[in-house]
Amino acid sequence: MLAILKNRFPRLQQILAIYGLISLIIYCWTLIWFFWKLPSWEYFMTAGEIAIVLAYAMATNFLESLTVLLMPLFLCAVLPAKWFKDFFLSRGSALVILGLGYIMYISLHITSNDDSYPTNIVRLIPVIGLLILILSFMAGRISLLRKLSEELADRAIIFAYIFLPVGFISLLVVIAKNIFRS
Amino acid sequence: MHLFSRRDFLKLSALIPISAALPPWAKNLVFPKRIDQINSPTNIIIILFDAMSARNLSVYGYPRNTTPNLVRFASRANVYHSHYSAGNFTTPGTASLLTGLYPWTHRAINNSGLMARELTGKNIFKLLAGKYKRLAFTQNLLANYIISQFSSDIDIRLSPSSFDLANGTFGEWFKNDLSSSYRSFDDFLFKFDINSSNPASASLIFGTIQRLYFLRQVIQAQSAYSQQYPIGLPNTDNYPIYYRIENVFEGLISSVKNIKAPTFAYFHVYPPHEPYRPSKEFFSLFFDGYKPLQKPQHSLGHQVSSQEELKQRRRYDEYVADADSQFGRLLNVLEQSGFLENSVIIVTADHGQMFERGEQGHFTPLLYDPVLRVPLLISTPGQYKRNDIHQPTNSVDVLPTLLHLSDVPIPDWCEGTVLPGLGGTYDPQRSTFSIEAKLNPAFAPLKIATIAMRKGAYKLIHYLGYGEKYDDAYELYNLDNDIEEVNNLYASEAVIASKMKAELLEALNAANSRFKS
Repeated sequence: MLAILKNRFPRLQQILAIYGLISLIIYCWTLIWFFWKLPSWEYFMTAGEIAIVLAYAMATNFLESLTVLLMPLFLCAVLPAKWFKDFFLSRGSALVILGLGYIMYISLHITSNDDSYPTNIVRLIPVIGLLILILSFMAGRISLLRKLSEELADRAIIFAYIFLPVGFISLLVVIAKNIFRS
Repeated sequence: MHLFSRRDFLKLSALIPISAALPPWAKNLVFPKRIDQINSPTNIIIILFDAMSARNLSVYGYPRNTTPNLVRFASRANVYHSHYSAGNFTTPGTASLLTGLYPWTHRAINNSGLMARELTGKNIFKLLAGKYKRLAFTQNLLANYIISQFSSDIDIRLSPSSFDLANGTFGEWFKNDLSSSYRSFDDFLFKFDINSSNPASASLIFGTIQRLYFLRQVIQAQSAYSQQYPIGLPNTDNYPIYYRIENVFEGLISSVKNIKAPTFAYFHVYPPHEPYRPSKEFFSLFFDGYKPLQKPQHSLGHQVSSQEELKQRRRYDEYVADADSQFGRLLNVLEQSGFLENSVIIVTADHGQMFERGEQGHFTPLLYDPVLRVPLLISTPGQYKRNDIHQPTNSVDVLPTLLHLSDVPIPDWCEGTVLPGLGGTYDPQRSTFSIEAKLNPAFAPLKIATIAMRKGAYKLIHYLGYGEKYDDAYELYNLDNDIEEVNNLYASEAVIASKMKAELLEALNAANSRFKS
């Protein structure tokens, strides 16, 4: 079983590098909004209450980042090793950057005040999703892109070491808050 | 002269058993109850309409027939004609009603703000513990933040989305940590910030998925009810909840039917708060050319054109009429089920709404009557006569009145008094306050604020910290002969103005003394 997993999935260090990239984008997106909101919260919330909100946010980011990580791991599991696993750093990081970038675009373009469904955006999701996959595969073929994405993922690994414990501790805080009635 | 004989006495005695068969209303007509004879009520039900200004209600003399059902209810209630909310938006208004404290004391003064943590135990739910089962429901998430602070004192808490069609709120999933979870998810991670220039939610993945899913729910609900709601489904202003007013009142009716006495229930419904979305039956009901008195634009207002004010006022009035018709359905149930015979029913609002001086809505530093004067109608058990009370009262008075009616001692910390007509007496020397300070930090002395003080016929408005003309400005009105607040008497009635100013500043300094400057 362990051997199958070892064959199917990349090395832990590579997974951590991709996770670092994912967490950099997901956590920083939330942190930017957090610092945007902070001045108004300071008007009526205590430091402890703000810390609890941050814990909820980081716990959510923790679950989000693990969910996103499943995507490249899933591709590793189902595609031949030559297609994805052998180029996990380059193709994985390209996939993550392009995919999360597209989600950012969607998030910024869905408005809720006109009561209309963003049909144009939703219709394009499969097409752009496919395009992102193709571009990610190309990233493994073009040496400059491959090198760039590998370097990026390699440097982003630090964020995995920062955000993994932060997210996990935050999740524990949220669980504790919900077990012991405040 | 014919004397009352023994035979006459016996004839009359025969009528005594018949009186037992009389319906309660008939008994009350013959032997009306005095206020001090009211027994402790079996149930207390507060029905609060969000943003309902008394100035737009026909029950208070508004020319448009907006509230025929409130008029019906008023025929058996104490009707307070000069009732003021202590705040001009949901957060302070609701907190003052439920605590009997002024906003400068409870400090729920900011938009989506919270009460001072050390005061959360001072609330109506806690005070009625042991006497009543306590139920709370609010559609407004700002009020929900306040109610979440009292959650340990509430037996049954219905979620804000209980009777909705589409719901994008998430905080209610975390039952043991409601206050933090509502703040984290609905005010941050999954926030639909309609008024913000940045509409994205703080949670990139789950927030985006949740938003797409919610919008699909909204579109389905909108298309299902597009005939009934020609300008869209009613929804809450800053939070993702869409509903039909019928469903909300259906929910209230069902809750009332299931109430097991004795219960204290607080129902806070969102209509007629903006966005004003009357149903087809009420849409275009008031194309009657009605034009209220035109007033000059206030430099602290939002400079809305008078045309827009008229349009918004008409739509608001239609929405009020829609909400009133649904209240009529609830009133029918209350009447038929005998609730009115043994319960105290209160109809009120958390704040009013303005359509004048270049202002539309209530998100304003202005404290003129339309945004502060709210309905207060209280029907006591078995009351069958209308009782009009014209003396000024304040939302902080509701809590002590309910305690008085329930034979619960009124705590020293309460800043209100028992309402006249329900056991209290009117004190012409008493001053009441309404406070707007959403730009002021909750943990600091009030330095950016508007304070309205009502004393007898006079109302003094103090603007503080708005810069230039309104850094330290005052206006004085005599509401007995200037209900529209157009003649500022601050300069001409200098003696009264200076006395009231001294009193207001003394009260403000006392409130500020708790904080370091």
